[in-house]
Amino acid sequence: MKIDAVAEKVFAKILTPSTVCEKEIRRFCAFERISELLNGVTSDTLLVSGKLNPQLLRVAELFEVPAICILSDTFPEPEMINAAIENETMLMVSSLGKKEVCERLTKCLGEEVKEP
Amino acid sequence: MNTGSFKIRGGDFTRAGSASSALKKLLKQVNVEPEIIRRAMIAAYEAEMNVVIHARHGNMRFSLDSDRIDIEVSDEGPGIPDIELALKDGYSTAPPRARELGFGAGMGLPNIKKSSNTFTIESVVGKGTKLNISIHLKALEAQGTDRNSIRVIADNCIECMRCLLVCPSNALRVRGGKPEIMEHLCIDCAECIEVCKAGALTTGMAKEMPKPTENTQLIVPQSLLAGLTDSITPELALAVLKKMGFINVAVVEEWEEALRNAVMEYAQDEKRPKPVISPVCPAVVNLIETRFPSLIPNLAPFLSPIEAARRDMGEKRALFAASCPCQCTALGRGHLLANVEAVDPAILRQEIIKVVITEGEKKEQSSSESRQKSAMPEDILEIYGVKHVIKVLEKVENGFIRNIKVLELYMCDRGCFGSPLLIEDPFIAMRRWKAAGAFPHEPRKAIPRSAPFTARRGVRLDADISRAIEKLSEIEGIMKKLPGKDCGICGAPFCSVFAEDIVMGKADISECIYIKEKEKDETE
Repeated sequence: MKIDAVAEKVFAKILTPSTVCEKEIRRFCAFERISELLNGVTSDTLLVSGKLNPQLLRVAELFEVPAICILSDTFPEPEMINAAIENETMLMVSSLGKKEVCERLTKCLGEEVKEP
Repeated sequence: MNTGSFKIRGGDFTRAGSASSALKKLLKQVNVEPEIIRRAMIAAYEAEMNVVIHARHGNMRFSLDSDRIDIEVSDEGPGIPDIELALKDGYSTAPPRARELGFGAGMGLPNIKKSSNTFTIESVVGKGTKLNISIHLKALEAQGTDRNSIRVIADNCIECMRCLLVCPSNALRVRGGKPEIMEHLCIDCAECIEVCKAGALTTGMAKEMPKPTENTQLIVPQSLLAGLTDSITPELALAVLKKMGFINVAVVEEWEEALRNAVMEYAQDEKRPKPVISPVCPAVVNLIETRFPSLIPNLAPFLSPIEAARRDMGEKRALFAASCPCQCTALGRGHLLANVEAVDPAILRQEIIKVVITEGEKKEQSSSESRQKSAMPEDILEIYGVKHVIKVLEKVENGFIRNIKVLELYMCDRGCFGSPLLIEDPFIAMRRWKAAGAFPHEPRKAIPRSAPFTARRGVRLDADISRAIEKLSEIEGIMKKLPGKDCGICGAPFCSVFAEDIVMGKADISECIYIKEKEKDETE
């Protein structure tokens, strides 16, 4: 599924329109711990997180994660948005909480990944 | 070989990960496979974050060649008091600030271990920690492994099957006309190399003499110096090597003596499990970790002589003539290989002979000082040769050896004097060495291990115990069908090993010639 289509499914607003790409999202990963994320993310994973921090962006950069979906209308700082643009990682913010986003993503992408 | 290094600043969570990021760019530039990059990134990033979270500052060094990437991450920090505990899933000492950012799952070191082909960790409390990570860039066929410096030259294999019969850990198969080494089983001894007359099994050491430079140290085994001829004495051989242009020539025996003294002292403590086993031969250590894990507490926690010599060389350039594959492997373990090279001792032997023939034999004067070798302490029992070593370890495991303080076990006959890489008969070489007396040398110290010895995973039928039990029953079922002749024609050394290979999906029952014949008869 294309990134913008996924964003629509979870009622997310895209914060970095310049990074929208044709990449397919095939899975999602919503772990809270970085070490768990490392085992789960790939270049076709949507990373789902309660809030954004520089290390989440670093993980996205290292593992070429195409997009990060932040939950519950938690808007990141402008520096974070700039850093995401630099990384070419698409940022989206959903008005929904983790449970609902995960349920919606499971419907369109299948179960959350534990390992690639 | 491509090398480089990056600085890591402790506590800087904004820039954290930049070393891993720079490494990733380089790996992409040289077209490393995405899955390898992914594994390298998990290991590098976790290691880098450990420095950022726990230390004041650190360094990430890497070395990349066509076969592997080595990453060394070292720091100046508090060190790890209990490495075994730190390696456990879920154990973390991350401070609240790091936990807020999503760290502290206690998966860092386990993730590094899982993502790498080899991983070692050394730590000194109050000083710092050093992680060494190696990741293979290619499939391992005919490449050897980090635990293994035995190389396969498939074209030379004549399928004589001799190697199958001598391997003490059943790590060899001969299938499709070439030997295969089972990485998790191979203990890196030289038994297969010794019997392979076709040259299909050899070592990964340099087969050409590297050019000596003024900055290069040379470290040779005593078996090389004593393994020439009666007229080329160890003194003469040493003198010839010294004239070749190395800054210094040292003999491995120097570290062997230091280790022996340290092990003796260690064994004096009544609480130590007896007999204490010296880690003098890395192949014996591998054997214990693979087949006798219950004896790991008996191993004295020191580096082997070759590892200690390697450590003493530090950043200096060094050329090692390793006596056997396991010594060659030990040289690479826990270090970036950039400043160390291993050369086949047979090559150095040829070089010495060449120089002596060209320049004529000149008697080297013995030093006027007394050069009596130190006598072997009575408390030490030396055992040589695979069969004897295995028998003794079985006896120790069964509690039949109680009144011996220290065991020095060597896989080769007469220790390194019996290495198949050297031509001279081990008894003659050993006698020649004893007659030569002791050579003056710098004082050496045994080096305690910071990473504990650990049992090797060995053959795991399945991660799921219930499935493993099922597989065990499947093996028993297949065993009933097999002829039990242990002929080796299928490429496995025994029918039991073949049955296991079938269950593990590595072989097919139709490869058994007897089963095939039986089926044919039944059809007819």
